[in-house]
Amino acid sequence: MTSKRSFWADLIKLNKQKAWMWILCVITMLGLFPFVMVVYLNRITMWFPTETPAQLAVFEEQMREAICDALAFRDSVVYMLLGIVLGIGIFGYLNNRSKVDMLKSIPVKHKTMFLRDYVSGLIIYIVSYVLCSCLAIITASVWGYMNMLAFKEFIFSTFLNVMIFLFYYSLSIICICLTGNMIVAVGGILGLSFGPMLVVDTIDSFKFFFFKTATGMFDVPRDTLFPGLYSMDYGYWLKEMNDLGKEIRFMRTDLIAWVILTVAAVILSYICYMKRPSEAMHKAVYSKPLRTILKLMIIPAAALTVAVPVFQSSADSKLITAIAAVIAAFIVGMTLEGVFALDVKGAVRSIWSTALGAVLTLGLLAVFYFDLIGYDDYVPKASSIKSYAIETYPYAYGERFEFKKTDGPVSTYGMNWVNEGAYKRENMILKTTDALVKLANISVENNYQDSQTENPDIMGMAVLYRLRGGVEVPRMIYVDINDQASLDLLDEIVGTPEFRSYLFAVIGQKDELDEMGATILYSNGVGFEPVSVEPSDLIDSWAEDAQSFDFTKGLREDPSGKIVFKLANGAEYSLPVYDDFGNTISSIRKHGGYLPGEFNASDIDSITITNYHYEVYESSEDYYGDDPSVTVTIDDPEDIKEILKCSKPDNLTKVWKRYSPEMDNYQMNVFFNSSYEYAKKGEFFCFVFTEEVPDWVKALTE
Amino acid sequence: MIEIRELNKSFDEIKALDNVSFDIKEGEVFGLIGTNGAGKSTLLRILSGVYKPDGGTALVDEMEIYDNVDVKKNVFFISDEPYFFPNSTAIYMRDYYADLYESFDREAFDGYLSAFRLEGSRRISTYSKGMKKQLAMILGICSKTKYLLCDETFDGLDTVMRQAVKSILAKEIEDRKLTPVIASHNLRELEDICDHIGLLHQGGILLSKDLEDMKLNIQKVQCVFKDEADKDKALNGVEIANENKRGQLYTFTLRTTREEAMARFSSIDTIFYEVLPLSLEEIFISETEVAGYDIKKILLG
Repeated sequence: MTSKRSFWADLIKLNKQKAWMWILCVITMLGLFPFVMVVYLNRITMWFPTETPAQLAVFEEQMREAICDALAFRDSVVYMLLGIVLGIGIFGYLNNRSKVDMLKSIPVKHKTMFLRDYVSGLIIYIVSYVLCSCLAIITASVWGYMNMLAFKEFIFSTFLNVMIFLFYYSLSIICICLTGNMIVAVGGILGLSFGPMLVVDTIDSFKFFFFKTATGMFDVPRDTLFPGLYSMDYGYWLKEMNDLGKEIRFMRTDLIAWVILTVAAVILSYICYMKRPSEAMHKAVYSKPLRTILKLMIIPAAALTVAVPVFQSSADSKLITAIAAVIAAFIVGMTLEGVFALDVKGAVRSIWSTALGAVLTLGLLAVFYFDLIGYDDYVPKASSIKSYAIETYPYAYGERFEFKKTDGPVSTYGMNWVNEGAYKRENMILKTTDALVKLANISVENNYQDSQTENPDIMGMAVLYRLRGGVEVPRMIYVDINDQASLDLLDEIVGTPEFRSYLFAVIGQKDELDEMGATILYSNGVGFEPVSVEPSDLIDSWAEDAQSFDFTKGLREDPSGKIVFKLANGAEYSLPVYDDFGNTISSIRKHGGYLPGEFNASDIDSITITNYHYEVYESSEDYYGDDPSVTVTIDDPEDIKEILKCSKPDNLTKVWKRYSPEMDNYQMNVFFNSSYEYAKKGEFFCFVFTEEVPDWVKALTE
Repeated sequence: MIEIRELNKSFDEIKALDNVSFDIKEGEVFGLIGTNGAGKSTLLRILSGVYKPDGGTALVDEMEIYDNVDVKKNVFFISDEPYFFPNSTAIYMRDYYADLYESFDREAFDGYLSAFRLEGSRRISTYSKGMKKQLAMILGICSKTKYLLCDETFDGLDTVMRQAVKSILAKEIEDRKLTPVIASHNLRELEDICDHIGLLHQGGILLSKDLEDMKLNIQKVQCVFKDEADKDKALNGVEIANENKRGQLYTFTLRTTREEAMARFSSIDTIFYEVLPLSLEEIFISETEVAGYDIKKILLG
């Protein structure tokens, strides 16, 4: 750069040549910020009445939340696409011979040229982002509901959005610099943007096909590798949190990964630009070694991706899958060579590297087919585990409910729910590592993973080992619930206050419940009685009793009742109460009505029992015959008495209820009469068998 | 001075430049001649810093060129397809280059612009191909660089414009010792402007000579002898590059000076003789034949 010419003056001049990029960015940002803000606020103004003070309070809270939503992290794909488009728009000239002839021959250092071009794209993005988001903030302020939480959300989301933009902007520059043809460059950008997702999904598929201890329980959200695309998930999680500190903590691992990835991409884009020879244009990929490396990376990835549906549709045939993968490897390899040569005839070049790619593909398949990495045998040493998380219902992928307290009126309090696996990955810190490792070793030594599909007494649990080096390893372990040694170890794990606090989230929220003015009810599964006590007092009593709660209790015992915490707006959460929970029961008795868990036959008019005969469906997968279910009505008091001895209301089942083909075939509707004060005439409640189904019931419903 | 030593450049399997060595002296007009694909554009791109050589050296005023701002300040490259910014005008491009080259002469630029009847405020995208080449040449000349590298710049210019551009070049050479390097695949384009010619063929330099030197040592003589003995006497001891006979009229291309040729033919009794000037094409035919090549095949296909 000559002395006469300043970097910034040059930059301004350069931006004048990029009018279409400015227009694109500004229109996009106008749509993302002021437009969305107006739509959100207008919608609330139209929908929420403001006639009473209570309505006004709800309206104001909704307005504040809408502003938060409009300024929070979302639509990351748009920023990703802007990064790609601007990268191509600004650095695409590298594939234009006459422009390169001109720009590379003028007296400007290549380094300066890169910086000037790079910054010009960033300025287009930042200026339009800031202008339009300021417009949105001004709009929110004019409406009168701009708030600090929304502003914090905005700052945090701006940081994330700039990082996503920079990552994809740099990625597109890298691809342009490594290729010499715009179509190939765009292919590279798409490949690097979506390819890792495809690879991870393929590896996941093979993991679940061939490794019996694979689990996806703690995978959510899986954003680390893919800032931008998968970050759409984060919008949902962050929106639910409404707490910046919590959001940053939630994302910390991925944030660090994103920052590292983005910085690496920026540096790499500079290196690629500086190293790119001008003559690279009009070649697909100018570097011969890079061509081979790309080929050896793409062939196995693409061939294995093709192998996934082949495996699924070939009745799990390993041979057919391997043949399909090899064919795919050769097709992909030859296609790549054709693309590299920009000539169909080039497809047969470097056949040796195509063959090597096919061999690599087979090698990877062998890793999965024969578990060459010992995936299913993996159990870390107890000393190497810092902490762990465990999910005893790994197939349920449930959501965790907690009470959610907001700054608004009581009527806006509600339930906060997050993905169970994601929550435990971040928050469940258990330390009983010795017991866990022993349990895992029993699982591996007995190959329970192989017998779990046939044996209903084998129970799968997902574990996330957090190793001392910071690595997290998820695995399934399998427990035989008839093995006393295993049960003892599980009792040790479940019997800790830490485990209980994750299983029963409300324990950690007792003070908030007091503050929110939660009402308490006790239920025996049918009737409800109010209990006039502070939630925290009752929770303290329950926590004391729950010290006896362990895995065996949760597996074998049915609760006799439950405590229900209820907010004014209907949100509720319940805790199980067992017969031996003396402190809890006496507190309930003292502060209200305790309801006995037993029911009198005299209170019941009749019971209908339906045997669904699921075994008919299980014996034949394509059963389309008549409904095999049989329903009988029992109204004899003696028969009712006998049934009540071995059944419970279906909302009071065991914590770790196991499926029983015999008992779960049946459903009971219990019709109370008006002598039972908690039921109206004709009202029925669902019951389930908790013990052996009487033979005469079996015979009646045969 | 531009010094090129054992310069190599390959594009995959294709060797665009193969051990090329020659010099370009300051103030001389260097014509780079060769067929399409001979390596002319590659050489110019190396000299302008667009390409980095694979091997050998190319020095401008004893400095490497690639990514060297100090050298590039003295070099202006007009490619075969000059680039102008989208929606730009001649005035915009003038200002752009004036910012880049310290000695850019805005006054001269405006003068040339009106002389060539190019509208400064009109968008360049509406110019014809020839007008764009004229504009590129004007920008190059007005940048006042020491070296002006022109790649097929005269292609697409009509005869009048070509002469106009050549006269501007001649003036600049005279005024400030501008060193133009003009690449062309057409010998006739370079005939009346170049001092020195470099012939590139298949990546290598076949010859690099001053035009005057070539002209001095090669003569075309047309003659009608009285008898064959006179012919032998006149040509005894002189190297004949080419001999042609139509009826009684002989045409010889002789490797000798004009004075010696005159002396030989005036010393014998001829019906008619005349020493004629050679076209550049004729000189090249002779010179390359010495090197064992057939110039007609090389340049004229």
